[in-house]
Amino acid sequence: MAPHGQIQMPRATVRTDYASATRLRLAKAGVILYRNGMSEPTSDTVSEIDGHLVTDVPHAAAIGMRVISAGDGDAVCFVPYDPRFVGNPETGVVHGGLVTTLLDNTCGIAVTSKTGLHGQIATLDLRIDYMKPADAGKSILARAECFKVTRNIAFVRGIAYQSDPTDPVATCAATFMIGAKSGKGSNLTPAETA
Amino acid sequence: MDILAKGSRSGGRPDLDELIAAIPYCRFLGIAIDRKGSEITTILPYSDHLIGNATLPALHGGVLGAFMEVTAILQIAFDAPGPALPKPVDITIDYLRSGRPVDTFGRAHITKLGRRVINVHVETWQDEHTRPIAALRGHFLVAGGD
Repeated sequence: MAPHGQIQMPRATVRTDYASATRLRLAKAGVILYRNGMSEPTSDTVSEIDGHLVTDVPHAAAIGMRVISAGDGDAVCFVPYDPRFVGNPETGVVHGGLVTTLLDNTCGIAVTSKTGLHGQIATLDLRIDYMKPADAGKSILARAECFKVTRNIAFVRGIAYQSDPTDPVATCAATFMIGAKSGKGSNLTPAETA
Repeated sequence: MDILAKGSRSGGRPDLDELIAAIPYCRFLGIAIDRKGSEITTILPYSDHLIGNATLPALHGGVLGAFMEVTAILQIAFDAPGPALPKPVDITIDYLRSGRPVDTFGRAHITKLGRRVINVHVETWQDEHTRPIAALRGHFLVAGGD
């Protein structure tokens, strides 16, 4: 018997309605990332050659972060699995901090892809909900969507996932400051620039 | 984890130095600890691979987030010793100032120690503790809850 409150649907109906149902689920969670007819890259389909290594951000390069696509406020990136990033040696699961870095950077790329202001944005606030631990041994992907830009602030939503974008590892909401200080050494004290 | 189980069984605190040495990601970031009694200060020594903005230069926001998350996890492992590492449920990070290319310090304060969920607040600073560069507020699940 179906648990209370759950409607049991014929299997075929569930299957044909899968895409729109999951889209609705993500939309309810505040994540609207789907475009009609677009197939999502997953850990099972991406390989290192599918993405361009981020070279202009030293830490992103250090974790081997790659960009699959970026444009018009939408970015998809991934980090290949690496034992150096393990947070729990018993399970081999990567540390949550790696997911934080991936989401932060992917959100930043989404903003840049919309504003064109490269290097002049700074994260103001980042909220992450961890849904489940990432599977050990698999890449982690992130998709971010910059859905609003004002004169000072950009608003972004994102998800981190592995094999199935409808079953995310984490979701996030972030705001970025636009036109942040960008001059070389402008954040340093006089002693440090000397 | 063995280190946690050992501390938990003896009713004592886990050895935090041993704990971070056992976590590869902490080694990757280069995190160290300075413990004075029950006060734990985490240290993120500056390294070129932690930079997010090479022009400024500034530390990567994700690195600061990860560093604060580690700080929270260590404080919970110390204050609420259990057989497993606490799991993050949600975190909110406020970026207050850009992280300059110098050493960064972190300290966590447990706001509420629940049976299953723990609410933590973390602050990081560089030269002056009164001028934090980032703060984190988060909920962590401890053993017994799922």
